[in-house]
Amino acid sequence: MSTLTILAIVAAILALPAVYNLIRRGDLRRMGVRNIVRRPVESALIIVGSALGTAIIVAALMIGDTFDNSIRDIARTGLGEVDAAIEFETVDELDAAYVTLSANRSELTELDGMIAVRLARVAAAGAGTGDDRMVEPSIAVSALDFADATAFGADPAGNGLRTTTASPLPASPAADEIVINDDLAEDLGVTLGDPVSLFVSGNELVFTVVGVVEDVGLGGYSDAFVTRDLIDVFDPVGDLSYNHLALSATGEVYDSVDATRRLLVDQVEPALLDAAIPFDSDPIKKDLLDDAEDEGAELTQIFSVVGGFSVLAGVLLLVNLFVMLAEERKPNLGVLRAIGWKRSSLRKAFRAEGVIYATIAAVVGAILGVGVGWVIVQLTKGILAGANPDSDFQLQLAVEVSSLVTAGLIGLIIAMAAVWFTSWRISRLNIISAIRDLPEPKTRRSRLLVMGAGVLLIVGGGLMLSNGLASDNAFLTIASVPIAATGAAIIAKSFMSPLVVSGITGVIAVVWGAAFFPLMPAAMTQDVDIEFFLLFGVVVVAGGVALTTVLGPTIQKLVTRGNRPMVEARVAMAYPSARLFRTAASLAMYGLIIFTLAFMAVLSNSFSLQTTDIAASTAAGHDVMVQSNRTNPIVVDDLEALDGVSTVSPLIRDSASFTAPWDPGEPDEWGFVGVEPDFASIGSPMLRDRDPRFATDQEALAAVATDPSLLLVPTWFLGQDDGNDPPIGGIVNAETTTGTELTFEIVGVTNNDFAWSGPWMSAQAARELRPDAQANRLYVAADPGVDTKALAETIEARFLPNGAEAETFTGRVQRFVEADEGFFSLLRGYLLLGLVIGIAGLAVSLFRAVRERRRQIGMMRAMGLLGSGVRRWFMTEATFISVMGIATGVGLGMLTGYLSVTRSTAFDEELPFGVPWGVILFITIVPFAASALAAIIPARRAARLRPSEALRLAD
Amino acid sequence: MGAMTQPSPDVLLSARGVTKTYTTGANAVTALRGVDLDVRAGDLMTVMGPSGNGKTTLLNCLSGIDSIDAGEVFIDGEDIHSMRDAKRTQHRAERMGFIFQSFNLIPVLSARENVEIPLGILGVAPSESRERAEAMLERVGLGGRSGHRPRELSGGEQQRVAIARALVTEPAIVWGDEPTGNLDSETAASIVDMLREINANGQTVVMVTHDRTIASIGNRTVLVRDGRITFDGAPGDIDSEQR
Repeated sequence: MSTLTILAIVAAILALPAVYNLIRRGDLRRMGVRNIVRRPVESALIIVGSALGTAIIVAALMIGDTFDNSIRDIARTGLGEVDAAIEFETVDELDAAYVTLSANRSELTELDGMIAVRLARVAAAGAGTGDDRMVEPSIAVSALDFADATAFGADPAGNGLRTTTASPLPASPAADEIVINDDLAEDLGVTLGDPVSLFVSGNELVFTVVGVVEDVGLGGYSDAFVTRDLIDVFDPVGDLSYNHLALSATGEVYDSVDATRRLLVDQVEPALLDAAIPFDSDPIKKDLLDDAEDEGAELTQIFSVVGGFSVLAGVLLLVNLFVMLAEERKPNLGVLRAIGWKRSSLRKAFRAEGVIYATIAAVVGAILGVGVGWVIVQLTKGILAGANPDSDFQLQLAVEVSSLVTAGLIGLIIAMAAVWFTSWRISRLNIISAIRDLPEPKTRRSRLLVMGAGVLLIVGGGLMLSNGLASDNAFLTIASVPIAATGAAIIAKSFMSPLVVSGITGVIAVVWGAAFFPLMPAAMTQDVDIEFFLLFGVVVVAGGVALTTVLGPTIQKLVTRGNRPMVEARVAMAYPSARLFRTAASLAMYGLIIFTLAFMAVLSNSFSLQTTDIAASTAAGHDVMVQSNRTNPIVVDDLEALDGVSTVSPLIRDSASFTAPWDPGEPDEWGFVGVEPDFASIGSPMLRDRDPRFATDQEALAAVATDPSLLLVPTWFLGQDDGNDPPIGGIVNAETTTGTELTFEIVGVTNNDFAWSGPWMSAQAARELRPDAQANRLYVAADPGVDTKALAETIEARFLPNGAEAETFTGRVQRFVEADEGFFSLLRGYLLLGLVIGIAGLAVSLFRAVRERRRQIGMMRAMGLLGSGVRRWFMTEATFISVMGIATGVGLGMLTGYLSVTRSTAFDEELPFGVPWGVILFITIVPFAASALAAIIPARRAARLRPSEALRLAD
Repeated sequence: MGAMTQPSPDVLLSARGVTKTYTTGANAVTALRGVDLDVRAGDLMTVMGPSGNGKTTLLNCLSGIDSIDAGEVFIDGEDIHSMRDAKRTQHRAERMGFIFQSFNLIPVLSARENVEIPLGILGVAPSESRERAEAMLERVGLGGRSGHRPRELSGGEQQRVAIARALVTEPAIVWGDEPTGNLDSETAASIVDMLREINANGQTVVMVTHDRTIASIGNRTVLVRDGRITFDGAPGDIDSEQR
């Protein structure tokens, strides 16, 4: 059964009985509708508050849809009809396979098209010289048969090569002619007939553009296309290019996954095996679509969890609103019971009204959510562009109908659950107490139920703790103690002051939450699911809110001390201090959101503060990292001759298949670097762990650089992402191009891998693994006082034909940190929506408070309090609640953040702590100001009440 | 309204030609029709009349918690309805106390804190407020219950807190609008005794009631019918006059 079906069933169970009563019972319908219509502002606020929860869910799902759709779109733009690639080591094998499959063409019923492609990466430049010349350091050039290419595939959405100009593509371009896609044409500033230079093995080859094709399908698969024979010029030996058969399976761009499987497994692979041609087959489109789904799901999860705080705030708002609604109508409901209404009738009446709110809110929220999602997607586009300016990846806004329906149903379920809870609660009223507005009497049965619930929670919490600790389950463990403490508190309330009990429970929850990361073992806290943080936030904030609520009266006394305390301030603070449930709900709404904002701000700031340290630990004593094209690598001496360059350390960067005992199964392809013995004299990447034989990191690297059996590895090497580093002394095998294996011993674990180096080995070992490997990565140490950023720019300009890409280590790390910061900012903006819920909740509470307190307002006015005093009363009350909520959230968020970064086992290393003043000020001042603004209208309404009117209406 | 004659020195409040009309949509209801009334210092005046004939409106208009459409209400030589709202409110805080049928206590404050409110409005220092509130609660027989919140008190006790609150600023006039309306007869009697005692100590009390027995405790009764004062005299004379 699908999630949507389950949600629909749950929503129907909750809503349909209420809808049925609404239709069938005219009295309930009239009561419900009139209650809503007679207070339009409050009804609108209730709907907005509830709708925001749904909107947040829609936005989260929409972000997932957008990423899913955008990544899937690469299937159309970057692959088109290419469904699978069969890779061959040599050109001869490629040719043999092409011949073999062509001969068996009639038996390959699932094959829709086939092209033999040799693809190489080279540097390219447009016309001109000097600074104005537009260059691309690394483009993909495919050599293929143009007749095959133009006829490739059957889906008009992504087949062949489609020209964007009036002139048709040549059937077979000459040796000095090239076809490029429109993206490259734009990057190089060229068009039909213009010259384009490609830099190969130190030579500049000039071509004439004879075709510009759409950046879709095959046109997106490669940046440029030349005739098949020409590739030999780029890659005379045939070892630099990616030799493969691009296959198209039957079916269109997005629905060929099954046909691809059948084509590969049942037809192509057996044919090649029969012909004894070695190959690697890769269902590239299926992998891409799977990745799209995974990425989309991951982002949906992140936004759902972060949005979960806002949704929780929405739930609290709803419960609070309905509880207030019920309390306000309690005397009337008591009278209805007295004249013969059954409890079930009260429940029905309440649900009938609630279902109207819930349904409108679900629909409004779904529509609102599309707008919110749109804004987030636009902001994300900016962040992605900043993080990776060279990427062609384009976010394409998408929203599935199923997402809208899912979010709408979740919103409806949440709202109806709140309505059911409140209707149940109100139906249990004692008639006399309700009519006379007295506290509900406690019965023996209710006491027994409470005690039973308390015992159940203690036992449940205890079991969760023992299981959580035994299985290193952070989710169970974090929830266990607060649950047991709540159980104990429920029982203790029968013997002790409820305020004291709540206070103690609050302290336990806060201390447990704050101490969780420092106390718990790494195995439990490393790589916790993101959902954990939602639960974590709930635990800490619930504790904080319990504590703050209990401290309310004390805070009130402290604040209202002094020679001339305003009487309105005393009254303003007395209400929240006495109405514990309402106050707690309001505080929780603020606290949850602001806690998360503050916690995220601390983490984000700590990552930012690390930039210099990370750069230093990555740079291994160097300043700039230079990568050049494998077909035309930079000559080290040339680079060393450049002004400002002190030393150049060459590294071989390539990839190989690695296996280790802790990662059974298929070998994993990992990029690696090989270093010459001289490298270690400049520095070493910082190691978080190393073999005790070596006193320093540099000694360890020196050993690795000279001994081809030693290896330094990153912490997550070979799937080692379970919180444990790869073991020092662990054995790793890597496969050479000839199929033999090299064995390495791990002697160190690098602190980070921002340079994407992978394992570090000696250059000798690298050459054994990849005999054709080149020193295509260069670490440059600058002369003292040299502007390294300017040096990097000079290197790129000077070594343009080599496809040089130079970046300072600091700049590289900064780029990632800024991307993280951008993403954090986006999440913060998203969370602010939750704050809107809190503020709407506060406004609604105040509106209702004005009505509830008419008599008191009238009396205060009669006794001589000015209208301005009444206004100050309500403004002070709003301020008091918002300040307590903000203080709770900021305080706990900062504390938890501090403990998490400085004492935590959750991160790879201890992070620096710093107060992110800017963000903290923002999340303090903005909610405070917004709360004050939200209080203005109800406060003015209260101030304008004429005393006689207030007293007369009340009596 | 013509020029007003100077009230005699013992007149605390003097109302002339007070008219009040309530308008709801197209309907206009005249609650007071040119009422003239003097309240003398030391009066224990009861206001009687059928429901909806303007008793509460009269009290509201005389005390200044409601506006009037025509007429004047002089207290301390000043027409309170020609004052700006802020001054009228301040005047009320200094010179008047109020007791209502539904006690109108602040439910989240203790009895003492409720009694302290009018003192707080007048800007009395907290320590003095506290002392005076405690003393006043003692006087109304609630010395031991000053820390209790209204919900923890009986109806009679709540009304006594309301009386303490009305008296704590030592106002010139105490206005009571059906102060025993929500109470059982025994409790009502004790509240009436208390009001009589207050009056005996020199406090002017004007009290709306529909209960003839309670009305009889005053030195003066005013009967309001259709927005007009139809009787103003000793409570004992009311029956013969009405006949």
